[in-house]
Amino acid sequence: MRTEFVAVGSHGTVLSAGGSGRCRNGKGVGMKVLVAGGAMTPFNRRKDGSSWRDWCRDAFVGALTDAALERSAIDALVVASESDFFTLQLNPASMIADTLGLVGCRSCRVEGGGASGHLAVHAGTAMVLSGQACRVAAVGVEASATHLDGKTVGILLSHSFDSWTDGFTGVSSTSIYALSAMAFMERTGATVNDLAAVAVRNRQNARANPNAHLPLDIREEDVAASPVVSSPYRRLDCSPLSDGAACVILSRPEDLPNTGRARVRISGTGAASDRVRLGDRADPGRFRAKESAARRALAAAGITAEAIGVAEVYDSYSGAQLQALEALGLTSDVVADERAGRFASRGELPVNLSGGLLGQGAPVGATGVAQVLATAQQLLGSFPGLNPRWGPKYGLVDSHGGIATTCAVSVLEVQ
Amino acid sequence: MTTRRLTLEHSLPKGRLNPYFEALAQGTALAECCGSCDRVQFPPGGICGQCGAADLAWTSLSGTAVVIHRTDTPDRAFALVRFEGARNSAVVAIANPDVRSNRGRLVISPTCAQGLAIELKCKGSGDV
Ligand SMILES: [Zn+2]
Repeated sequence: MRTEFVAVGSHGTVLSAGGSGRCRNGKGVGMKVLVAGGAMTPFNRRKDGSSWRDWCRDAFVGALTDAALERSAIDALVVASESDFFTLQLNPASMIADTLGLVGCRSCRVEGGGASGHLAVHAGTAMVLSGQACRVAAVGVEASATHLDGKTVGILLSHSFDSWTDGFTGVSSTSIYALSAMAFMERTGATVNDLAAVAVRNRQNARANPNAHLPLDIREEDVAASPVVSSPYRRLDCSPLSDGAACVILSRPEDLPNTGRARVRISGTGAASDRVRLGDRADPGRFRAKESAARRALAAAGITAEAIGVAEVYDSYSGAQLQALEALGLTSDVVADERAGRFASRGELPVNLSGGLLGQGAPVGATGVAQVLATAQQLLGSFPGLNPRWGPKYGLVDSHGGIATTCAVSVLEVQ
Repeated sequence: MTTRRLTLEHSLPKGRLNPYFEALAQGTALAECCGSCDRVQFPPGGICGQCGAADLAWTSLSGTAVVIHRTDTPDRAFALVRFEGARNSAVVAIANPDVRSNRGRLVISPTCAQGLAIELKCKGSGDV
């Protein structure tokens, strides 16, 4: 979806916006969708007695403050949440609208496994572009860490693949990712040391991030000494199950107050899906849908991958980060670039400065929203952790559900 | 803090994949054969993975499989295998994880419910 274009025909309709003026229709030049503001809660295992509804409220109120908007300015809510099993709340969008004081707004829930949050941002972007809403709050939330015991969560998540084959076999996410990583390693020559380097770097990056779940001062030998979960993956190769919420507000520039602050534009979005079962893919180590999603997002933004200066990439497992970088077209030789330090915090293309899922954490529905927020802030140099050394113009955000089965990619651009 | 306990017992009809699951319960590998391009796929999916055709007929495979990749957890093992005669591959549980071998045969595994499981052939033993 190209998010800046000359609209033709009666693309948009003039709609009333919740008490705050009127949406302009989609006609005209230079229609843009900006990340007006955003906020996230810490990602961690909650032990403070707070509820997922509190986390949504905290993230939403923080995003309103960041965007310099009143609650009444929001006219649409898109909620991302992977599973009602965690919250024991069906139809969470209406419950969250109620909790946030957004009664009367249109609200819906978007779900695509680990891509849920990112797909919610895509849905919100489409609402703004089509003139159906002026200012959309995309709220992602998940209580994956503490509401159920780890064994139950593992069983539930094993149904993220083909529930009728993989789910009944009892194979875990980690085993499926391990089999895919082995295919990738066989083809590219990547080693367990390369995987461990990713696990270490993302945890080190997370040490500067006050919201991170796993800011760890570890070395490759610590990864090698951690318990085997499913070979070749060890405990420290795996992202954690986290609790938390994140929110971004999306709008066109003309529908936002002039704060004098620079903002980031969503200049291209792309999504695609792959065969669900690993064995139905021509190369089980390759993330084909991610390749398509990235091509679409980059084409929509009118740039090539070489223009990307910073990226938040879906590192549910250490090897998955290398598989993603390959698929996104951000490197022509991912193993050589990994070993040369290209993706390091002070490298040519810093990846997962937030710590990624491995370091910042992974409350599933909130993950993609937080990835978009982190990239937007990094482009402005305002991320509350590591920021790029130079101010890049373009950033890329990558998320997926399943094992790169449902893929979402966005290109962000400094205005 | 409120504690709630849910017990869920799902009854899941299998629709047009029912013959596959019934065969699996007998330890037999029933695959799909595409009427348009002759591709054989196991496990089945309801649509040809090569040409997209939906006119698929059932065909039996021998049930023997070759291991492509294997992953071990502390108490179980899983593998990506290709069943003889199939073009696609499958994720299976290994029923005898103590054995290291790259060949095996489909078995009924009580621990796998309706999932796929293979028993690996011990090196030096007879046919699989
Ligand atoms: Zn066919």
